Amino acid sequence: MVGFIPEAELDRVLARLAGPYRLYVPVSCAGRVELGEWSPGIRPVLEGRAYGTAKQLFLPRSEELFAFGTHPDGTPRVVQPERDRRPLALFGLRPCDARAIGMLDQVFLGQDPPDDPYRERRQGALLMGLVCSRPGRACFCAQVGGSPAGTAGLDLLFTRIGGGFCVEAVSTAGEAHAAQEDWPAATAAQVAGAREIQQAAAPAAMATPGLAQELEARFEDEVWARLHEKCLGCAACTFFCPTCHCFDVMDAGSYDHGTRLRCWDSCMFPKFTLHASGHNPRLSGKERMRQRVMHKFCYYPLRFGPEACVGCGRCIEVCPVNLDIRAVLAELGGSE
Amino acid sequence: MMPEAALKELAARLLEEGLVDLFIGYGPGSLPLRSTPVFLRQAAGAGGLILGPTCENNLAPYLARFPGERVGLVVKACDARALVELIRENQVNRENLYVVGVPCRGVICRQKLEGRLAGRELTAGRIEGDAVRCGGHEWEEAIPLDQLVHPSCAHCRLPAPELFDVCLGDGEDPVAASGEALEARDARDAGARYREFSREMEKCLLCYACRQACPACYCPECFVDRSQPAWMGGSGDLSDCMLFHLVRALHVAGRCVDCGACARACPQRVDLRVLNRRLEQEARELFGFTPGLDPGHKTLPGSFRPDDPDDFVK
Amino acid sequence: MELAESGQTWEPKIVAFLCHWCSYAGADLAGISRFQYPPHIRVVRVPCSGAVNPLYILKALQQGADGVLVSGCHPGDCHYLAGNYVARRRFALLRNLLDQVGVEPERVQFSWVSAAEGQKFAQVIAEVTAAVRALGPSRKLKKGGRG
Ligand code: SF4
Ligand code: SF4
Ligand code: SF4
Ligand code: SF4
Ligand code: FES
Repeated sequence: MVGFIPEAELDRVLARLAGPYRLYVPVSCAGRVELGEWSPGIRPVLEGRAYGTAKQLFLPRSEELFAFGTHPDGTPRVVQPERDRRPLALFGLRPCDARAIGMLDQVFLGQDPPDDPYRERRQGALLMGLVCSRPGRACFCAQVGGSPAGTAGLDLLFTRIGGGFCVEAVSTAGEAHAAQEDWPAATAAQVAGAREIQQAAAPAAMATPGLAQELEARFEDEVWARLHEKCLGCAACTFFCPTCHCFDVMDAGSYDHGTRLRCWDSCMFPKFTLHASGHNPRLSGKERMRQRVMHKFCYYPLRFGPEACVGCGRCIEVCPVNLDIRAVLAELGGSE
Repeated sequence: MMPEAALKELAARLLEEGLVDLFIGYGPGSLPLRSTPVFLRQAAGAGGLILGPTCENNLAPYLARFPGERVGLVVKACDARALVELIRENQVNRENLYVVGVPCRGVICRQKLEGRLAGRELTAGRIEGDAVRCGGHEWEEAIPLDQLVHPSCAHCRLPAPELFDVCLGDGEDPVAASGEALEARDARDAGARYREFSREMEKCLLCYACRQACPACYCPECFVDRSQPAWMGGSGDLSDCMLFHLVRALHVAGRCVDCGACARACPQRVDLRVLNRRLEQEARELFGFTPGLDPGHKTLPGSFRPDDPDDFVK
Repeated sequence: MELAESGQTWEPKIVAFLCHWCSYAGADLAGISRFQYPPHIRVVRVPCSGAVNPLYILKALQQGADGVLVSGCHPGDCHYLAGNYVARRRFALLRNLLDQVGVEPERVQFSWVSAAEGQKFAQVIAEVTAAVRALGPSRKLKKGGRG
């Protein structure tokens, strides 16, 4: 069933969520759209995708895994950090971002054992997506198998039509939530309107079959020497990428008390692969750029299927030297 | 001849005649009002070179990657000052360089532009004379360039390259480079200054784009990357961000040429100029030192005068 | 440290970087001569005041020091000829930078104390301790702001 929420009702829908959930919505922040915690009076921005990722809500920049120390009698002591245990709810998520969370799920939940801190945040989270009626200037989701009206990773899909939103449950959790909310059914005309918008948004270009296999064979290709040339070797692209998930685990404090932290790391940093021996297998920017591209477009797809890039275009927007992953793909013989 | 046309011709000639092995300049970017660094090894690509207010990167940091090669490099005035420092510090060999000075009227500050667009997505843009023509879905707007130039450019006191083999154009008047007097010391109280500092540091993700974009930050191993001792947690703790930026500011003190490349590289819009400008001002007032002018001088941190101020020492 | 933070018995914690050739010997002399000075300093012996990287000072503040003192030979007396002159420039910049970001520059102090100035050493420590005490506990650059 497709429900309908009039535009004026949205505020009430969000307010109901805000109690049991930690609710994040796209908000306007000094000329940019950012994900921000909702509170009464906040109007979600319905145009454009957020500058930052939803990733940071599930895999924060830095988190304490536990604190360690000793009891007065000298026995070791380990303390789990206090966390806000309310589940997350995200409204206005773009389909690419939801798809990216699905990819993080693969990495952090799809293995045995699953990753506890990630699971704690992810479990019970409600992901409410919004169909993109007008893809942005750096968007290329369709080229990597996504769609501005895609439902992968989402629980509920909102389509904005005149006067309000058509809402569809696209997962079991979404269905349960819809049943509980009991939104009035959309009229046939409203549903038709939503379908039209979804179809207009649907991808024209399709994914590039065989790219992963082809890249695997091109590990030593000369093209890599050129592709990284202007890259500065910062972490802007990977930190802002919704699918990049490399982390570092470190201890802060001293030998007998402190905290164990997990922080984002980046394959674009020279230290990322530095061995204790002093040897570094990825010595220059060339190897590091190759790793970033290969992980996304070769290793991950060979292992899990889809590319580890959802075409959100964030890396393109944040790169200080405007190194465009679309151009990289084009040079590598992908579509463009 | 217009500087851009002259540049294309010059780069093609340098590469063709084998006077340089590599020419580094700017080409059109993939986003509106952006340019991107280009690396030419053949004359054929020279036609794609561009100049103008979108050329926001400082290309000097790339030089370290091509030791021994003869490189042609496009420099704006601030980039040329950065080059002077690199030569002074023996980081680049002047003999291997062919420096192409270009006129600059200031580069666009994307942060100012974003503020001006207030959430509208820019999908097309071009520079026409003194106007930046912006466009998006069902809107168009022309914004005067001088309202969009980066703060470093607006405060630029030396808008003509100091160091070059060839200087293109005859020193266009900078649009906003008023050479306006440096502001007096921050008059706000310590609490307000600390609040501002914390607010900026809160935004920092330690992605190090600022450091990577900076011509003065060329250490093969930055102190933040050391693991023995591990000066930084890397955890993104606020105090780590503060430590990084304070130490970086001190490391570039007397060497920073206020090109603004660090601030423009920052994806989080951290205001990095506050720190650098204060130290630039101190370097000038306390030690009479202005970086980027004379490669013959000693560096500020590597030199002293017996009568340097020491009223703060017990 | 936790105790100090609860405010009940806070006493200033001061890290003192003393150059081996002058100020460290001056501290020794102060001790041998039994001059009284406040017990709040933790001495780190360094080869020369010029060997003190501002990073050490900021790191000390990050790790919980309430104040830092760097002390070396008098100008002209540096064992390495000019270490203290070069250091002086750096420290002038550091103090101004701290001022810019709203951190009290008085938390970071400098002095020239020769090997013969035991009395001066005791006096400097008393002054520095009083100055840091007046400022109270240092928090602004301390670890734990965000984690
Ligand atoms: S690689 Fe770039 S476009 Fe692809 S998901 Fe990551 S940030 Fe988005
Ligand atoms: S953001 Fe750009 S410059 Fe920085 S590492 Fe990524 S591609 Fe390189
Ligand atoms: S610190 Fe910033 S302004 Fe100064 S030289 Fe480096 S990049 Fe340019
Ligand atoms: S570029 Fe910005 S976010 Fe990245 S380290 Fe520098 S100040 Fe921090
Ligand atoms: S040896 Fe004492 S200051 Fe240099």
